[in-house]
Amino acid sequence: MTAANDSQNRYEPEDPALRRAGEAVARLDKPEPPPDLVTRTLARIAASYRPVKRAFWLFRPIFNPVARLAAAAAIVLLLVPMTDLNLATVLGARIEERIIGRPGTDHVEDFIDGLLVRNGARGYPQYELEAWVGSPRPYYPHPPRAQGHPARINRVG
Amino acid sequence: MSAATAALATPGFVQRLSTAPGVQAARKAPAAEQVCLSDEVLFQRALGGDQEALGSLVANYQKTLFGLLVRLTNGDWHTADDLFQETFLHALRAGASFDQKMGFKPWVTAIAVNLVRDEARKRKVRGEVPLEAELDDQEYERAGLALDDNPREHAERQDEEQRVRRALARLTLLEREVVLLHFFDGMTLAEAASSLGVALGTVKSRLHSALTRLNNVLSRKQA
Repeated sequence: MTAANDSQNRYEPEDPALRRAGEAVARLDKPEPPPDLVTRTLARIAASYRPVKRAFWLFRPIFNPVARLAAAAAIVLLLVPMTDLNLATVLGARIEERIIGRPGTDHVEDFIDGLLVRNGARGYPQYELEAWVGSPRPYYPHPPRAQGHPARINRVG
Repeated sequence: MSAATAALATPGFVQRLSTAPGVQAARKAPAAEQVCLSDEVLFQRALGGDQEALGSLVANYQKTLFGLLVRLTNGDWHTADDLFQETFLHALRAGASFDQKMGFKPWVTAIAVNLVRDEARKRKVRGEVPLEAELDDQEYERAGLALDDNPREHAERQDEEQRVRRALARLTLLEREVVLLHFFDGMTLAEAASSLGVALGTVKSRLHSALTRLNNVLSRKQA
């Protein structure tokens, strides 16, 4: 055994008093385990051990504090550009166009408008709002009529 | 072992857990060969649902691991008993993350040490008696020293044991861990380092400070 290996295996202090202290610990008796320890351990395992289903990595909870911070930072970095309205408009339109689709977007908008109306706020169809602020949707023609929550449509008239 | 095997025969015991490499190959070996199988192979077999392998593994470790847990908990046999069971439960649950290169003993010891730390933390939060203050001499009597022919020698040895145990109880958990792993459990420094999840140098410095403190307590008591 080389000296390097030996230094990884044993700790031998130069001070004889420290060596004696270590030897005293080494001389301690090993407590005898209870006779039924193995049986009880196996019974406990049998009672409570279930196979763990592996979840897709994206759905696994993050336990490491550093990884949590990194994930939060990544989310913030992704969302910060959306505070730029010009970028958000273009991106939103692309998401509508390529991912969600027009009917899906309308359903979501109707749903949110409905919620707002139900909670007492005045609600208007999206295309009316866009027409008023002079910024129509860039990629879609206006719908022929309002398709929203009945309460909202009635209120808007 | 028959009683132990019977306990495992209850429905719900996991049959197939891991798809780790080696499980299938290990499972094919006949049961009679298990006597000379390494702990790593036994564990892989246990993960594959081999009840005999799991029984052998628990039996192999009951003396060393239980002894270590009793010393780490300052002679709290009930806690040590509970933590021993928990250790194997955790080991099976974390089986997929078992690293063959680390070896089974340092890995399972790492789980046991972490469980002791958790227990100490829980006691602190709950305001219970901390593990550092626990020293159940009555329980130690159960372990007992083998009665020698010479009663005087026996009494002296018992006295020495008690002195060392009390001195160990004065150390912090981190200090006690490293001293017990290296001197009591016979782990190498590298194994102790991988079990504690620290660098080799940290183990050496912790050992030095722990032994210095232990020696101070022992010499004070002797005086």
